[in-house]
Amino acid sequence: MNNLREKLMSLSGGKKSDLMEKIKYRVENRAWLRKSSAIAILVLSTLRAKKLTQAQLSERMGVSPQQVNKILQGQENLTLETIEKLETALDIRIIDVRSDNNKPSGKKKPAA
Amino acid sequence: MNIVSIFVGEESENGIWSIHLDGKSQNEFDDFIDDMNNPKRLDKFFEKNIDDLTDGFFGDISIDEAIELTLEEVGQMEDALYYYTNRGFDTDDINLQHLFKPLNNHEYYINIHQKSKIRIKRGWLRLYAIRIDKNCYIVTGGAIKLTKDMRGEHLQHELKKLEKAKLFLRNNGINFTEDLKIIV
Repeated sequence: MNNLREKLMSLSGGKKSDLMEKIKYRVENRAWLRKSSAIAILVLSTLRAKKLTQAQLSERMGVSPQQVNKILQGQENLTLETIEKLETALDIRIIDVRSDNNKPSGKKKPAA
Repeated sequence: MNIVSIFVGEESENGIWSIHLDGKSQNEFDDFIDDMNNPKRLDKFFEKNIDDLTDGFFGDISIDEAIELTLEEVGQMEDALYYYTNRGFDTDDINLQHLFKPLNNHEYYINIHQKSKIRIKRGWLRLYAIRIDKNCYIVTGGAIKLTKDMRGEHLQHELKKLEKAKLFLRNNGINFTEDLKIIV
């Protein structure tokens, strides 16, 4: 058994991947990463429906193409400003916070 | 080609390794997991393979739904890997054979963590690996398998990598037995 380990270690030159650290990060940050992915999916779907390119989106948002690319990879902790720019550029609603639905009593008014 | 360790037991060879192809920035296992977590890459994949996606094998499914399902499945795969690596592989009740469930020759799916609340009825993520010992796997890649057979270009690519990896291992004195073919 140890012979096999030695062979593998020798072949690998001791190189180790950081995949398990990446997985740990994703597991620990799953909740907000899911939201980031959901936004990316919505944006991709909207681009397809409206026949827009990423380049056109970046122009409309006034940001670099690299930033749009990052958003679409679903790993970004997006700011409210960026979300608002996406909403305006694509004419979509990504988040909807209504003050009358967040009263401390817990009772929510039906949506208008 | 080279190999890198993904997670290896302290005192044994038990663990997961991956091939790292020349000219690529990272190994194949990292590549696969990163891609499966990337909505943009998944969108591109499903657009390219739209015919296989909508031919009915997985029901009537949109690209958006397919991306969501894939993200869910890879999340569960990560949970399972995280759970097993935290427990360690060097106990009798926890070993990689629990994790890597064989389908066909060198094709596996990751056994979803038993405590997971959500079970995906029919997962389509596949890992391709060479098992060189009871608890030792060398991952050569992974894929989204939308068809029963291996006809897709991306699946053929996985088969080629498997063959290259086998040759590499044999040339470097690492022997293994071919897995039995299990038809699903």
